[in-house]
Amino acid sequence: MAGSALRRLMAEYKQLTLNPPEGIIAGPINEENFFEWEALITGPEGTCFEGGVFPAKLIFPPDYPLSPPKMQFTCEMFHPNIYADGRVCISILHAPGDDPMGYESSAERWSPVQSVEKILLSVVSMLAEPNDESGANVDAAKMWREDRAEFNRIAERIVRKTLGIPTP
Amino acid sequence: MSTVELKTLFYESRYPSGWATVCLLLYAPIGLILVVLRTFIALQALVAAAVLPELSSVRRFVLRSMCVVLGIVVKEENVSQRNENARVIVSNHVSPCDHLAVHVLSSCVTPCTWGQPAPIFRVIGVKDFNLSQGVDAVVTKINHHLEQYSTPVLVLPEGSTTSGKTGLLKFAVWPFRIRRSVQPVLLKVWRPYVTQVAPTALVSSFWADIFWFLFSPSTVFTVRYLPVAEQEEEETDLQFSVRVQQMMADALGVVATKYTSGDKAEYEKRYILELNRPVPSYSSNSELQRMARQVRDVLPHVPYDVVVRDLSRTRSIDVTITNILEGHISFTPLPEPQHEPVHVLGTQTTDENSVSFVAPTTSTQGTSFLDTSAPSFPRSAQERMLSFNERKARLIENARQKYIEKHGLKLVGFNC
Repeated sequence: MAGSALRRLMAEYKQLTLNPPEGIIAGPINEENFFEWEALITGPEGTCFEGGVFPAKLIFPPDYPLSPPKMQFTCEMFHPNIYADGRVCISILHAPGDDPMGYESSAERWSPVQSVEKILLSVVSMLAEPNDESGANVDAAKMWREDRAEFNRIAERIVRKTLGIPTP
Repeated sequence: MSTVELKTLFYESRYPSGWATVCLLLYAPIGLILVVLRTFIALQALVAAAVLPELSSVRRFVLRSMCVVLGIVVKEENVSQRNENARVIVSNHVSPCDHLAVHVLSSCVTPCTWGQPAPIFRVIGVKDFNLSQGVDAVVTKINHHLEQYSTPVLVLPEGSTTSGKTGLLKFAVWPFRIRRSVQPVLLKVWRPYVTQVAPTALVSSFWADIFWFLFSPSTVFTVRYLPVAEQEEEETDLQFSVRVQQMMADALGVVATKYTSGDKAEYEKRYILELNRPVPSYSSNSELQRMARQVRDVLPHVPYDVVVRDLSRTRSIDVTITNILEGHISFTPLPEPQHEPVHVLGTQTTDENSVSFVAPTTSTQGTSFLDTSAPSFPRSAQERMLSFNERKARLIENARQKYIEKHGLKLVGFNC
C-alpha cells in the first residue's frame, strides 16, 4: 500500500504545484521522505490573520489516503482550533468514528475522496472563522469571544512574526 | 410423490470412502491384472461369437462367458413368482449390464435404447426394434417378435440408471402397451468389500462402468421376481405404468419419483458444466474484485468498471493507479458524495458543533502576489525541490512586500 500512497501523494503534489489555490503552497520537505510535507498558508484577507504566511508540517501515514495525515503549524499560533503545540483540530483530519473531542459531526470527515488541497482550504476557512466551541485552545477561544481587540493584536503580532517584520 | 431431490437418486461418485478406499488401493494391482486377463478372454469370446452362427446355443455360450469374464454372478429370489406366460419383463435399471443378468436367466431380448446396437450387443441379446421410429412402430415390432419367438422381452422402463437406493425414475409408458401383463423384476447389485465401487455413477461412461466390472473380482446381481401385474379393464397404459412403478418402488423400499431419464440427462449436463467451470478464472475474478476495491480506496472518484477493466489488463494495483493518475485512462469521474465548496465565509451557524469548513473562493485582489504555481512539474526530484523552495521563498517575500506596502509607511522606511 505504501506504493499506492506514494503515487497518490505524487499526483497531489503535481496538482498542487501546477495549479495551487491562491496563497497556498505545499510539497515534500525533502523528497527522500515523501510522507513529510511542508505547507505555507496565507492568512485570508479581511481577517485578523490577513497577510501572514503560516508554515505547517503535514505527516502522512503509510496507508494514506485511507487514513488522514496529521497537520501541525510550525510557527507560533494563537487560535481557538489550534493547540498550543501547533496541532490543528479540524474535522477533515479525523476519520469517521475517530473523534477525540466528541463534538464533531460526521459532515466533513476524512475519507479517501479528500485531499491535501481540501485540508489546506479548510484550514484557511478555519483561520477566517474560528469555531469558539472547540476547546483546542481554551484561552484563545475565550479571548476570541470576550476580547476581540486583544485577540486581533496577538494575531497581528503572529502575522508579523511569520513575515519577519518586527512588531511595533 | 417426488419428494426426493433428483440428485439423490444417483451416485455422484462411484468410489467408496474410509477404509474401503484403502482396501481398494491395496487391491488395485490384482484388479488391474484381472482387467487385462479378462479383456483378452472377452475379445476371444466375442470373436468366436461373431464367427459362429447365431444359434441359441451359441448365444447361451457367449452370455455365460461374458458373465464369467465380467465376474457377474446372478442370484434368483422368489422364483415361484416367475410366470412363463408374462412375455414382458420390466426391471429397474442399476448398471449397464442389467440385461446381461436377466438374459442369462431367461434368454430374453432387450430392445436397444441407444440407436444401432453393435454386433457384440446383438450377440448377447440386445435387439434393434427401431426405437427412433416412434413407440407405435416399436410396440408393433416387439409384438411381432413375441409371436415369432418363445423368449420374453426385457424392458428397462426407467430409460436410465439410478443408484437403486433412493428412488425410481418415471417409467416410460410404451412397455406397458405391449401386453396386458408384465413381470416386474427387481435388480440389486452387490460387490465385495475390497471393491466397493458403485456399478455406475453420474456422467460415467459405458466403458468406465465396464472397466470396473472387469476390475472387481465379482459383481453379484440379485434378481427378485414380483407377482405378475395385470392391466385392469378401466386402466389406461399410463395408469398401469404408474401402478407398476409404485409397486416396484414399494418392494424396493424406495420412492417412485416423477423425474424422467430426460431430467437425469439435463442434470448430468448441468453437473458437467459445473465441474468444468474453470476454477482459476473464478478465483482470479474475486482476486480482481479485491484489487479493484483497493484501487477504489485510493481513487474513489474512478468508476468501478473502469478500474476493473484496467486491472484485468495490468493485473497490478500499482500499475493501474499509475495509469489513472497519469491520465492514460479516460473516464467520467463519479460525483463526490459531499457538497461542492460553497461561497463560504459567514455561512456557518454558530450552533454547529464542529469545526467544519468549506473551501472559500479566494478573492481576486492581489492575485499575482499570492500565485504560487509553477510553470511545470519537473521530472527530477532535485529540480522539484529547488522549485518548491524558490516558490516558498517567493510567497513569503511577496506577502511581506504586500504587508509592508499596506502598512509600509508606519514600518519599514523608518525602522531601518
